[in-house]
Amino acid sequence: MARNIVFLIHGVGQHSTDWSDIVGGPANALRAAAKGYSYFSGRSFDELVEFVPIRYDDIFDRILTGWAESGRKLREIGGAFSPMLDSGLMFLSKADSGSPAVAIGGDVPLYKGFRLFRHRVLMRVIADMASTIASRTQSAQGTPPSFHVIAHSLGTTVAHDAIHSLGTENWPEEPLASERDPEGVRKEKESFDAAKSTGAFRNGSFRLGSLFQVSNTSGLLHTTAVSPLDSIVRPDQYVQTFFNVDHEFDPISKVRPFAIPSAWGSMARQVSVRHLYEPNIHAFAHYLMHPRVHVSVFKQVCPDFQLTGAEKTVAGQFPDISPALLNKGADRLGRELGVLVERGKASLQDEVQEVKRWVELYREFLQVAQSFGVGA
Amino acid sequence: MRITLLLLLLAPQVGFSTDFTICDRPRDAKNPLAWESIEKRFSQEISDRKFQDILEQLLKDFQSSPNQADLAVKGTFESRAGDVLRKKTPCCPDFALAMQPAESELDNDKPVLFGGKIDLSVCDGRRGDQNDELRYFAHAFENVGNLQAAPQRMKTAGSIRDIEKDFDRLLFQGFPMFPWEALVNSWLLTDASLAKGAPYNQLVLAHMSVGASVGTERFSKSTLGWGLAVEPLGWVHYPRSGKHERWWGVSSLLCLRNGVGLGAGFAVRYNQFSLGLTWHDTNDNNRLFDNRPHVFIGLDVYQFAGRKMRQYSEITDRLKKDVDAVRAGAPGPEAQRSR
Repeated sequence: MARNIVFLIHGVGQHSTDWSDIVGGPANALRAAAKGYSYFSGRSFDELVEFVPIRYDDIFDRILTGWAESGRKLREIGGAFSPMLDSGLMFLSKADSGSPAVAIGGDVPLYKGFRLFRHRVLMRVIADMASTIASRTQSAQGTPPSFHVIAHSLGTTVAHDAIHSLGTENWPEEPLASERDPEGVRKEKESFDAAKSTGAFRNGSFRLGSLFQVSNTSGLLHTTAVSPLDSIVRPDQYVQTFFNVDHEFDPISKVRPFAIPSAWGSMARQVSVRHLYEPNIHAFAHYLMHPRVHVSVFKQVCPDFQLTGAEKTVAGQFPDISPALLNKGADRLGRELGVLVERGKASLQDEVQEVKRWVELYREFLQVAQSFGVGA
Repeated sequence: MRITLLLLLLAPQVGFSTDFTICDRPRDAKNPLAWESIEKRFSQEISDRKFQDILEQLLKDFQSSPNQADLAVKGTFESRAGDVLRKKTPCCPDFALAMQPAESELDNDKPVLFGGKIDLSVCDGRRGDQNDELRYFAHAFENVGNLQAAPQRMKTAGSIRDIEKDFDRLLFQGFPMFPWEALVNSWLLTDASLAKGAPYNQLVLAHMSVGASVGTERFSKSTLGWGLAVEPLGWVHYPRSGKHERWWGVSSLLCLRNGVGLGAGFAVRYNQFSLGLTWHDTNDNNRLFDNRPHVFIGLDVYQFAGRKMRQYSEITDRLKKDVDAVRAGAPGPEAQRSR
C-alpha cells in the first residue's frame, strides 16, 4: 500500500535544499517525535509517510541576487556619471545582503507586491503538488495515498493561495485520445466526469486529507480575491480536516490573526500551545515538538495511530517551559514576547499598515530571540 | 538463513501500512469488498473505462446488502452515491474516509465519512458490521474516481509544470527587469489567473544598461567608448511559439558617454543583445540630429551578471582593454573582434 504523502511548505528565510531534514526542519522534528510512541516501534515514520518538502525561497534569492549584481556592475561603469545615480545603484547592489532583515523585508514585499514573482512562487508549489498527486495516484497499487499539507508562517499564505488556485483555476487540459482513435475518444467522453466541468484538480474532483496551518499568516498576507475564511481551503471543500496551530507568545501570527469560523464545524480544529523550549518560539520545529501538535499530525497521516494510556499521561504533562530555559530568562522571554504580541493585536487602519507592522514585529522578534544568544 | 532469504524476497510485499481501523477491525485486503477484489471483479470494465457501470453495480450491491441495517446511515450513502451516478456531483473525493479531530488533541480521533455525516466510530449492535462494510464501499467509490481522473490528472500536472517553466524562463532567462519594471509589468501586463500563463509582452521602463558606443562619422578608434544607456520607454514581445526562450523589442534610447555627452535615439533588441542609434550634439550647436549617429551595442548587465558572470567579465575586460589601448594610440583589431 502506498505511503501517505505530507507536503511541507516553509516560511520566511533562507532554506537549503535539505531544509526539512536538517535539525530544526519539520521532517526531522516529526521523525524525532515519532520515536517517543509505541505505535512506531519497529518501524520508522518514513516507512509509513513520505515527506515532500517544497522550497520556494530560492526564487526570491535569485531575484535579489540578480538586482544586486546588476547594481554592482552598473555602478562600476555608470556610477561615475552621476552621484545620484551612484547612490541609487548602491542601494540596489545591497539587495542580496543576506541579513535576516533583508530576508523578511524582501520575501514578503516581493510576494505581496509583485504579481510576477508571486505567480512564479505559486506555480512552483502548485506544480510540485500536482505532479506528486498525479504520479503517486497513478503508480499506487491498491489503495492510493492520502495527501496532507503542513505549512509554516509565510508558507501558510503560500499554501492557502496555491491550494485555492489549484482547485479553482481552469488549468489547460488536453484531450487524451487522438482524434484518429474514435473508440478512444468515445470512451474518454463517457468516462471523464464533465458534470460540472470539473477538471482533474478542481474542487470536487480532488480533496486533501488534512491541512495544518502553523503560525498562520494567511489572514493578513493572502493574495487571493477571496479571504481564507471564504475560499475553498476549508473542510467540506478542498480539505477534509483543517488545523490552525498557534502559539500564545508568537507575534508573527497575531497581526490580523486567523480564527476558525464556527460554521466550519467539527472537521476544523484550533491547536493552541504556549511552550518555551528555545528563544525562537516561532520556529517550525519548535511548534512540532509539542505533543498536541505532532500527535494531531500523526493521527491524520496514520489513521490507525493511537496513544497508549501511559503515553497520553506523559504527553499531557509536557512542561510549558523547558528545564534548560527555566533558569535562563524564560520569564523575560515571555514578557518581551508578550509585548510584541500585544502590539501585533492592536488594530490598524489599513492592510498596508498591517503588513508594515508585521515586518517590523518579525524583525523585533528576531532581535529578542538573538538577545538570548541564539540566532533565529 | 532460509527464513531470512525468504523474508528478503518477500520484502517488497511485506510493507508497513497505515489505514483506518473501523470498530477495532483493520482493513482486510482479502475481504470480497476490498479494492483488491473489486479490481479483479471489474477488470474488464476498468480496462474499457466503463466506470459508470462499475459504480451502478456497486450501488446495487450496497442497496441489497443485509449489513446496512441502520436505514438513516444507508440512506445517506445512497443519496451521495446517487448524486454521483446522476452526475450531480463529481466522483469521488467525497467518499474518502477522514479522521474527525477529538475535542482534546491527545484523545483518539474518530473515523467519519462525508465530513462527519456518518460516524464510523459507532460500533454497538449491528453498526460495527455496517460501518466496516461501508468503508469498503466508500473506498471502492473513491478508487473508481481516482482511476477515472488519473490519466487527465497526469496530463494536467504536465501542463501545470509547463506553465511553471514558462514563468521561470520569463523571469530568469528573459528580458531582465529592474524592480520598477517588474512592479509595473506585474500591475499592467500580468493576468491575475495563473492558468493563463506567463505574459507575452512587457513594458521597458527606465531600463539601464552599458555597452560600447562608436561614432559613424569616423568609424575610427577614437570614437569608441563606454556608454551608459537608459531606455525610457519600450516594448518587449515573446512570440507564443517560443516558450519564452526568445524575445524581441524596441525602445527609445538615451545614451550618456564621456566626450560626446547625452544622446537620444532608439534601440532594438533580440534576446540579451541590443543595438541602437543615438544622436549626440557633437558639434556643440545644440542640435542633435544634424550629426551622424553613434552606434550603441549593449550587453544587458543583469542577464550576463546573473548567468554568465565569467564570460561577461571576459568580454567587458577585453573591451575595456581595447578602449584603453585605442586611447593610447595602439591598433584596435581586438575591439572589432569582441563585437
